Amino acid sequence: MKLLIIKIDTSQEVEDALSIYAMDNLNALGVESRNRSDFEQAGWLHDSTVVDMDDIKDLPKDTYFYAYFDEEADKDELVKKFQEKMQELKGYGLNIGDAKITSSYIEDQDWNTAWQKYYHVINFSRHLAIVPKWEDYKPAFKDQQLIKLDPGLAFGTGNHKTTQLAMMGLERAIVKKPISVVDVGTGSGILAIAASKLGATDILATDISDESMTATEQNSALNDIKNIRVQKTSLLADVNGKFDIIVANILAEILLELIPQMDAHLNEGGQVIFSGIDYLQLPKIEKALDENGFKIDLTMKQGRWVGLAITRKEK
Amino acid sequence: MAKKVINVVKLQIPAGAATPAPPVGPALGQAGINIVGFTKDFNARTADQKGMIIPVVITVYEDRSFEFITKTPPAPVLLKQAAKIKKASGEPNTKKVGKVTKDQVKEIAETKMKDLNAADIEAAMRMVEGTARSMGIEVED
Repeated sequence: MKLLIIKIDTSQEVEDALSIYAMDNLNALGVESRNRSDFEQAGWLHDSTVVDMDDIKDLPKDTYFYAYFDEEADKDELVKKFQEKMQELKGYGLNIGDAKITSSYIEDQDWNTAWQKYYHVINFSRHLAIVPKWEDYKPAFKDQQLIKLDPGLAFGTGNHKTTQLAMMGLERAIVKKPISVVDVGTGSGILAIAASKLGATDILATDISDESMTATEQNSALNDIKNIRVQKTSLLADVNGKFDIIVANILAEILLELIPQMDAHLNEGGQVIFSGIDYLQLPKIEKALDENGFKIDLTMKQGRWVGLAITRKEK
Repeated sequence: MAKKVINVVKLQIPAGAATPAPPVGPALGQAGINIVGFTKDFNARTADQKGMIIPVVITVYEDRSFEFITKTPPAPVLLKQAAKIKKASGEPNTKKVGKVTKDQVKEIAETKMKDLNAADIEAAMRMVEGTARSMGIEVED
């Protein structure tokens, strides 16, 4: 079976009217829209989120409205009705934008699993592989540990370069040493889980979002891991104690807030791992680290992204 | 976490009752989002609003993780409540199905002001009134 999609390039002013018309009078199966204003607002609505408008594929000039129908629905008739509706709405003094109507068909599939094609095993290194929960994977190396993940809410599916940089840093720092780790801004919990799999014994995962707390607990359970504690807080605020490793994959601006908090939470001889730094932001981070008594031991790069391994300056 | 946005999708879904059927399945499936994860979370977050249609704006990140926010019910839903009707008119010019007052339009415009992205209350009222007329609802002074 297929679905018919009618797409209208229009303005936000008529989005509500088109939605109700499609649902109440044309028996649409559902409606969807994309507003340019939502893209513009996403950046400040969610933490550590960046929107590069030039990079968005098929960004609407104002609004794209979509209505879904059965494939048996009369496409030409529906297009005609939408055209008439647009003219009617224009008559009420509403802005209808370009009012360009197009149609297409897509295969109606088992949407519950359709998205899974975007996620596969990431054979990350000889010590670590990231395995989506529905895939079977046999370790490629004798001592390779598997991180099982249910990708979804909260950032960190293993597909992102910054996650991979942070994992490289963790792997270099902790393979099989019994140490404590705090993962600041843990998202899906992937780095905390990687730390546990690599042999860290005591792990704290912090984040300011509720989704992250839930996702981290679920992903820990999926891996049968019991040595990860979660704490909902901003960076290291309200966190007690010191750690052998502080790992943070966050935007550079947030790392700047974290840097002054680090000394109080890092054990003697401890190490800090940063990821999520765009190379253009690196000078700011270097300066803040220097001012707070830290030095960079190793710089890792993946495209524009920079990861750092950091220790205290020698006194 | 250096989270780069690749898509922002808005859907209207009954509170507490999201399923993978259209629009959720095709819209989010094509965007590469974990649908079971989304429906579970949406239904939990909107359980208290059962019976309402809730617009939800889903931000999709580069690694295909996502976040979402819910908004106030769409203007047509609020207009139906105000006019006490179940369904919009198929021929709004000739067949009127209900009435609302200018004050009710203003109240709805105020509720929806932020979501409509309107410059001022007059602009928001103009949109709500246009939507009402397109549904066959008369606006009285």
